[in-house]
Order: sequence, then structure tokens, then C-alpha cells
Amino acid sequence: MPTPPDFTNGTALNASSLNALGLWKITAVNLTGSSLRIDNCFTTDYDNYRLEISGIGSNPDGALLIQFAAGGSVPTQGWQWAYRGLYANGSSADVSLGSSGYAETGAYTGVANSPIGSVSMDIFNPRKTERTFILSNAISYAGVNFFIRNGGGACDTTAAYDGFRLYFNSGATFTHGIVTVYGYRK
Amino acid sequence: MDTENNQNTPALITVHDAATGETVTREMTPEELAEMAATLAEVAPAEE
Repeated sequence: MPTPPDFTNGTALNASSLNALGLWKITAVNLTGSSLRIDNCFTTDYDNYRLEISGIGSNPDGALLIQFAAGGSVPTQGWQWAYRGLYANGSSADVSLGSSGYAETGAYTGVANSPIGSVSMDIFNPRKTERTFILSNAISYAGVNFFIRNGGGACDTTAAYDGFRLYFNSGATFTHGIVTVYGYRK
Repeated sequence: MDTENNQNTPALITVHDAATGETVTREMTPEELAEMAATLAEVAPAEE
């Protein structure tokens, strides 16, 4: 029996080895339409989650937003969110923040019809009836330069959620990208 | 920035159920469109 995390083809794994895996892929979905909702991805199997939203493109350009879903719909919810960004040429930094019914992810698709940004986001305790927090890192394109934002948000509504929705502040349609949802083992 | 809009195309929603693996893309209902528009209309940006 090889010692994890090193494995050998054809060797049976002990349950303890598989149970020690820290991150488990739940689902992966192409970004299409004006809105993508994933239901039933937050389960009692995990408390915390990782979203990898890669190669995001849209038509027209826009800021990518997130909301939580429950029972196949998106209930009213309140968020506070904030990001700091740095342009890749070092020319300036930006601050983006707000209180609204959604949170920004930090990504902005500044060129239409092109895969122009990616987001890596952690989501904490969406299944619990308490505030849910997200921490997000994004790289995207502002029209002239790439910029990198980090920040996050607090869903200040103490409800339990089983999924989420991604869409744009501009009402844009997804043209590129995929979102993969992982669960962190408890 | 490219500000071309696509307001003449129907707004589509993709719904994926992670429990069953089923993915459906369909036209958004008027209620869904109104609900999404309402979340965008209530934007109240804060100052640093």
C-alpha cells in the first residue's frame, strides 16, 4: 500500500486514503444563457466550497455577479461586498464595493465574445441558517489592461441555500467559460 | 469597451441540478426577468 498522497496504478486504496482527500469535485457546468443557476450543489456532505469559474466571456461586457439559490429559485437576499484591484501595468488601483441584492465576484469581461477572466472563490457555510461569506480572487480585463481583484462579500441574510446563480450587471449573455464546484472535506 | 447590446435576443437561463446531473437551458419567464431586473435596480453603491 503506497503512502498517500502517492498512489500506484492497480493498487487498492484504503477508505482512509480516499477519506483524506481534501477537495471533492461536485459538478462542472458550461456558462451559457443570460443566467446560470446551479441547484443542489451545497449539501450536508460539506460545509465549505470552492468555485473555479474559468475562461469567462460575455456579450456585451459586464461585471459578473453571484446570488444564492434555494429550492429552485433565488430568494431575496442582502449582501455587502468589496474588492480592491490592481491594474497589471501598475498604473492605478480600483475599489469596488456596495450593498445590494447580489455580490460582485470581482470579474469584469471587458472584451465582448472572448474568454477574458477567471475567478477562484471560497464559500463558507451556505447550508447553515447563518450569514454566508465568500472570499474571491479574480483576474479580468478592464478594456485596456488586465486587472486583479481580491475581496469578498457577506450574504447578510441568515437563510440556508442549496445553490447559486451567476449573471451580469449588464444583462449580458455568457459566451465562454465553465464553473466547477468543489466541496472541502469537513 | 464593447458596449454592443443584445436586447433583441431572448434572455435564456441555464439551470443545472447537481443532484441529478440534468442541465436545461430555456427562455426566462417574465417573473424571472422581473426578479433579476429588480436585484439590479436596487444597487446602492457605498463609498470607501
